[in-house]
Amino acid sequence: MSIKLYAMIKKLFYLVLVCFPLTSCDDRLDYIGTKKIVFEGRIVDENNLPLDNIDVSVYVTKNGSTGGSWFMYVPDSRGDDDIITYTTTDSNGYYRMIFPMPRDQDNIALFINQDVKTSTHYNPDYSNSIITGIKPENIIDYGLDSGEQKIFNLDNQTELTVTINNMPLYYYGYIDIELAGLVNNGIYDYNLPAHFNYDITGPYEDTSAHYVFKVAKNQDVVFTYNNGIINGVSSYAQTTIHIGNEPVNYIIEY
Amino acid sequence: MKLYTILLALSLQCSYAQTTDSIAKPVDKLAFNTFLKVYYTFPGASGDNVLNKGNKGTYGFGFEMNLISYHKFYLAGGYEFSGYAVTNAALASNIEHTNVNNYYARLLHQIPVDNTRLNVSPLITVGAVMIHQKTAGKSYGKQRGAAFGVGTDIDFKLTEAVSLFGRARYGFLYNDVTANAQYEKFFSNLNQFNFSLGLKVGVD
Repeated sequence: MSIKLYAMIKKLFYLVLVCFPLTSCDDRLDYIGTKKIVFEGRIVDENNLPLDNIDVSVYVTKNGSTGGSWFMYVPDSRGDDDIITYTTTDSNGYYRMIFPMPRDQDNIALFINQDVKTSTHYNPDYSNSIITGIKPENIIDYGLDSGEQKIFNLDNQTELTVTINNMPLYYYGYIDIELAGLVNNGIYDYNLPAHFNYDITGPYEDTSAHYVFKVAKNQDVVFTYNNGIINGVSSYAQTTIHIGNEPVNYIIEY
Repeated sequence: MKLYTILLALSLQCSYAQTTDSIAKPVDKLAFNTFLKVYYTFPGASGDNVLNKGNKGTYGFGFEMNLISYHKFYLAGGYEFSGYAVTNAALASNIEHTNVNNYYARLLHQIPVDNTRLNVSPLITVGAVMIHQKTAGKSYGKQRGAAFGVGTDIDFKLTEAVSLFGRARYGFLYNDVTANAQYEKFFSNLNQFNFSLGLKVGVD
């Protein structure tokens, strides 16, 4: 091996040694051990009956220094994440979870009946949901009570397709929407009036969008969508959709 | 860990062996008096607090150096590590380890039982505690505070300079945690109940 090549390898080795700590440490989640946060609430079914042994967990994420996440609760590849606490509901449907306050997180989400690595009682017979976008200012007196959250038996499930036509071109067929009601795989933002739902199945076109939801039968759901920007602020329209026993196709002319 | 503790104690015994004969018995007055205790700990907890309800003791160790004596009272400085594994993620979070580090001053009163080999020594400890929750190399925060303890040592003399001893110590930890008033004491008033076995090296 020539001396020049040896010197080059040596330089590369030191470069890796110097760079590795720089790239690996800055994107880690940090916690305040002296502050303990309590998340509590109750899980009931579509008939308001308490559900026991339902997995509930808190998912905390921090994006990497390279940029933000492409989606609402998943960090980018260089970020960090923790299921910081988890439990199952008791016989009355109640849950309580305690965890140290994150110091530098980008998002806090509550997982309900999600099949994740800490799950011990994931129930595939029931719907699941995520409440995301929880911010430190939502945590009052070191706690957050989510109240009653409903999930439903998937035997009682049908399909809702919402098509929005004549959307302005600048939306590229992609606007903020929210479906309030009993929705499987529902993602709800704790603070925003609307959010992206990942059950969008397309096909995407420049002026229309199709959203497909798995919903409980025999309920009224409220569909909210961004219908324009006034003075730089998004405005929203709402429509109530009745779900019976059969699949529903609902069309909105923008 | 046991092996390291025993090796450390034996090496200290060797170093003392050469000087044992020259060490005079302390008289009943204030005196500098150094002897070392090293021990293995079985950490425990009790009461309605997160250490007891959300963790289980795994292993621990400690050492203390006696500094001065007065009559049969002995004052030492020491360090004790107590390792716990988290058993309830809803209470103690989804973290693997809760490590309790005690830095303390210990005062014990030695009561000879048979004037030759056996001593029973009630003791109190006063000091600081640092609790560190971590999973592998990742830290989930530290808590600091004051710590007090009461307990008893039972020493059994093997030679003039080496004794076996056992210790039971109940600790009161007041770590700095802020939480909803309903849960604050659950996290900031902890009780340890540790049993230890070790070696005492040196002359009283």
